[in-house]
Amino acid sequence: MKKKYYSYIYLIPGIGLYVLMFLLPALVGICLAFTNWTSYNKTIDFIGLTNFNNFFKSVIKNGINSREGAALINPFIIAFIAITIQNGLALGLALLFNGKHRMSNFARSAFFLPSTLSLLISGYSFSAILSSGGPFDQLLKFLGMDWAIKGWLTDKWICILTVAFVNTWIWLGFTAAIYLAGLKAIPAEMYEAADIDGAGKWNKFKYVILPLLGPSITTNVILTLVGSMKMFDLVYIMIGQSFDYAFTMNTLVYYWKNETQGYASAISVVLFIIVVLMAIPILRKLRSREVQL
Amino acid sequence: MGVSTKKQAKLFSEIFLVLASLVIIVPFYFAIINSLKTPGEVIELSFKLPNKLVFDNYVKVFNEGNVLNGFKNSIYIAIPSVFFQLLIASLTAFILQRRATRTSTMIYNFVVFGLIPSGFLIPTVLILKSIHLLGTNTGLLLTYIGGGMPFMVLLFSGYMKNIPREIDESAIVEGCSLPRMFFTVIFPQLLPILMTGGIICFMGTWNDFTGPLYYLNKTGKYTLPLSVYNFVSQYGTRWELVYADLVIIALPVIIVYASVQKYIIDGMTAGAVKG
Repeated sequence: MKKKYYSYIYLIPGIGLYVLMFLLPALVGICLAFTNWTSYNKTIDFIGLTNFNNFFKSVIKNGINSREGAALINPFIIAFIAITIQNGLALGLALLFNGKHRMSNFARSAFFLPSTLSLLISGYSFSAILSSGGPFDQLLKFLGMDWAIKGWLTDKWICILTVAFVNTWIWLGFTAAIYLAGLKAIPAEMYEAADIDGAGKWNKFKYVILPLLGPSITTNVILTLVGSMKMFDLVYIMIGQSFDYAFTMNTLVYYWKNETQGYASAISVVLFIIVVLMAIPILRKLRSREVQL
Repeated sequence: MGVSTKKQAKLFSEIFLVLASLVIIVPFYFAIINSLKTPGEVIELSFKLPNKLVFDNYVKVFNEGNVLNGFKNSIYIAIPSVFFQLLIASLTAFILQRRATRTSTMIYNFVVFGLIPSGFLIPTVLILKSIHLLGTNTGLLLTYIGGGMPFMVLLFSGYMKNIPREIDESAIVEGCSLPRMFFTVIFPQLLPILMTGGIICFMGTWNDFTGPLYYLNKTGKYTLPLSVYNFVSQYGTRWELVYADLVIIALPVIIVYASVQKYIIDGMTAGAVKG
């Protein structure tokens, strides 16, 4: 009776749209990746692994100086900064927010704001602030640090680090909010027990807070990793597509979307495999370390 | 630690929090002041306050940027996107959560898996084309509803675990059909999480930049974020208009954020932590 009542019929709209907009595109994309579909070809032929071969050949031959090499390397740079710096800063902030400070709520709202607004506003503001001879360069000059002036949005390596920094700036408050929710879920008895045992601040952090924060850490690491690997909008807005060394996987897909769709689909498949292969072991590893309350 | 050093540390934290918050919102301050400058002044791209406030930029943006049309398109997509995502995802989550069989768990995992990988945008273009919805607001809307399922189902089923089954059972005994039971008994219980889901969905749809870029091909159909490209070009970006446009795009979200931010922060993090 129970099963009949909660009939699968009611899943049709939700699962149907999910399949149409997620599963089907993935399947079609995987098939297209093995074809030579372009806007110029009259016919679409099966060409085996050629697209993948071409992609990795460029990566190996020219590294970061080819669009393909950059597309493969840059997301890892962004992800590394997001996982280390962004998560570290966010954890620190969350600990501060969790203290009984009068300004906590105000600060929390301010830090969270960038993640709620269009990336365009952050992207274009930073583009101008970091433009050559712009306010940031002037500040450096004023401080007598002329040597530190770089082409923030144009130099190789530097431009991707800039995007990674802006990305961190946008999502810092969001990541901190997840840590804060995790901190709030730690029962007060845990701290009291640690106090009774005479634990210092550092030991409390290491042996009480960090293990109990497991679920939040898992969530944040996965979210920042996946978000960075998929990076599109911010790179597209801030750097555009003029430098080969500034591509990411998804800006490269966009670059080829109107010409060589078969090749672009192969790039999507590579990204899909990388993200899944990285996310699942990390998820397992972090999950196994989580302490159940 | 003595009392006075503790007090000092606290004062230091308070000052740090205020300063850090101000640093975080600096780019928004930059956008706002530069949206109020003359073209001659804005070219310096500086933090200086405008000599004279030029509200004319906002009028220009409305006239030249087709902002009203973009606004209309965005509303026409955001409202149904919120409505259908809440309706469909809550029903899906409800059935999956209440059945709790091996199959339903598998379906649940299959849906939530969608959070991890990145989308296949080119095949989606192809699929929309084949059902004659490429370049239409309806097509874009379908991608939002389908793409929003993983997060919304995750969010709602976490919440539903706390709604006792006895509520369902008493309705079943009275011979209530599932749709009626769901909408009259369960739906009202979901109000807080519907609020959260609705806001997240609104912001996601309103701010989305990639979807319109891929799935819309006529300027007449463009949503608000793409209107910025009326003022950005290789031959010279009209920054004062870009920033005025960006402020217009951000305004509805800022209003929503300011009025219901508790729901946004708590909700976004609650869903994420339970995942």
